[in-house]
Amino acid sequence: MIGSFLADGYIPPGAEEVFPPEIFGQVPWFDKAILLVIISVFVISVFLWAAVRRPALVPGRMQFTGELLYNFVRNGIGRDIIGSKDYMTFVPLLFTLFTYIMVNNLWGVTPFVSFPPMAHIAFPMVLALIVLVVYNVAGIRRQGLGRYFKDVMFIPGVPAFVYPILAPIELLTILFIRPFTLTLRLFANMFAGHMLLLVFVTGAEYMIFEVSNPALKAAGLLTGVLAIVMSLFELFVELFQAYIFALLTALYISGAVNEGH
Amino acid sequence: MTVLVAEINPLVPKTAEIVVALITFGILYWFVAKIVVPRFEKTYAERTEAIEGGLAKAEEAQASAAAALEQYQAQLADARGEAGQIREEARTQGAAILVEMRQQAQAEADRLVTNAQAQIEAERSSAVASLHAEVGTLASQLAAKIVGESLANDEIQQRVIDRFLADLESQPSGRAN
Amino acid sequence: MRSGSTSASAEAAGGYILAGLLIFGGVGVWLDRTLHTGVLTPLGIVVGCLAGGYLVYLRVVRASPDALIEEQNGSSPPMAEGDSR
Repeated sequence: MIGSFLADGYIPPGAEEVFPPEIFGQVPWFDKAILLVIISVFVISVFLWAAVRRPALVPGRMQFTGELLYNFVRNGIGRDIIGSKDYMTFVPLLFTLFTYIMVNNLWGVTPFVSFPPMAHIAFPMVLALIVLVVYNVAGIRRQGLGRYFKDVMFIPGVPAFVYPILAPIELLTILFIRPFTLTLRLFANMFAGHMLLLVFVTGAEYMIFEVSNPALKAAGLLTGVLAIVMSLFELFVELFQAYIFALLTALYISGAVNEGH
Repeated sequence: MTVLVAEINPLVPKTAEIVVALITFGILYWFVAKIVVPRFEKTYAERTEAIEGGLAKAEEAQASAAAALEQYQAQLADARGEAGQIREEARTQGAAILVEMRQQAQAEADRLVTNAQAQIEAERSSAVASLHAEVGTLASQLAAKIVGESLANDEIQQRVIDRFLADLESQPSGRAN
Repeated sequence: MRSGSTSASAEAAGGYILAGLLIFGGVGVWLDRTLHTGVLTPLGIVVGCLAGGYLVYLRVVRASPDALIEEQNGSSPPMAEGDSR
C-alpha cells in the first residue's frame, strides 16, 4: 500500500520543510524563523505592557493574566528552586526565557503558521549559551573563581583517588553538557514535533484530495483527526519545554550560587 | 530533494539567526528587567501594604471601640456607685432624722411631764401655804369663838397654831386635802 | 512543583552520565587508536557511565531533601554500626 502510495506521487516531508525558502528574495538571510521570532518579541512586549501599563491593586483581566504568568515563574521556578535569598536577581532572566520560548513555540500549533522557530538550532543554542554564561558568572561572583571550581570538581566525603575520574566529568558537565543538553532538548522537541505534525497533515491532505481510493480517503480523514490530537499533544510539549528550560536554568543557577553543593 | 538535504544540516546554526536571537532576546530581557518586573513588584508591594494597612486600620477601630466600651462601662459603674452612695446616705440620714425626731419628741414629752409636775407641785405648795394660813386663821378664830377670848399672848397663840398644824400634818395627807 | 523538580533531577542525572560517557568513551577511543587495542573503548564507556552514576548519587540523590530526611531519621545507631564495619 505504501508502495502504491509513493507511486501515486506522495513526497514525505524532509528536513528541508523546516527550512522554507527565504520569504524576501532581496534579503537572503531573512527567513520565516527570524520573522516569527521578531513578531514573538513584539507580541510579548505588547502583552506585558498591557499587563503593567496601569497597575491596579485589584487587577484587570490583562494584569491578572500577566501576574499569573509572572507569579508562576517568580515563585514556582525562581523562589522554589533558587531560594529566597537571591532569586530576585534572576527572575527577569527566567521570566524572559520562559515567555520567549513559550510564545515562539506556540507558533508550532498556530494555524497557517505551524512553524516553531526553536526548530532552528541557532535560537535554542543562543539561549543555552546565555544560561551557561549566567550561572557560571553568578557562581564565580558569589564564591570566587577558585572556590567555585573547587566546589564543582571536588565533592567532600569522597576518597581522593576518585577525584581524577570525577573532576573532568563535573567540569565537562558545567561547561559543555548542560548547555548542550539544553539546546538539544529544546531543538529536538520542536524539530521532531514539527516533522510529526507535517507528516500527519500532509499525509491527510494527500490521502483526502489526491487519492481516488475511498478506503484511503477514509484513512486520510482519520489521519486528519489524529493530526488534531497530535496538535494538542504538541501544544503541551511546547509549553512544557518552555517550563523545563526555565526550570533547569534556575536549577543550574541554584547549584552555582548556593554554597555547600 | 537529496540535493536540498545535503545542503541543509539542521544541526548547523545560521549566523543570521544567531544574531537575531541575541538581539531579540536582549531587547526582551531589557524590557522585562527594566519595566515589567519592577512594575509587578511595585504592585505586589503596594498590595501587601494595602492589606497590612487595612489590617492596622481595623485593629485601630477595634481598639477604639474597646476603649469606648470600657469608658462606658466605667461611667456606668461610677453612676451605679454614686447612686448606691446616695441611697446609703439617704438611708443613714433618714435614720438619723428619725432618731433625732424621736429624741426631740421624747424630750418634749419629758419636758411637758416635768413642767406639769412642777406646776402641780407649785400649785400644791401654794395651796398648802394658803391653806396653812387660812386654816390657822380659821382655827384661831374658831378657837377664840369657842374659848371666848382671844389668846392674849401671841406666843401662845403661835404655839397653839403650830401644834394644830402638826396634828393636821401628821394625819394622812389624803384626808387633809 | 514536585514533579517539576523530579524531572529536573532526572535531567541533571542524564547530564552526568552523558558527560562520563563522552569523556571516558572518548579517551578509550583515542587510546585504542594510538595503542591499536580494541578493549579500551568499551572499558572507557563502562567506567564513564559508572563514574557518572556515582556523581548522580553524590549530587542528586544524596543532596535531595527527601534523601536528607531519610538519612537524618536513621542516623543514630544504624549509621554508627555501618561506619564501624
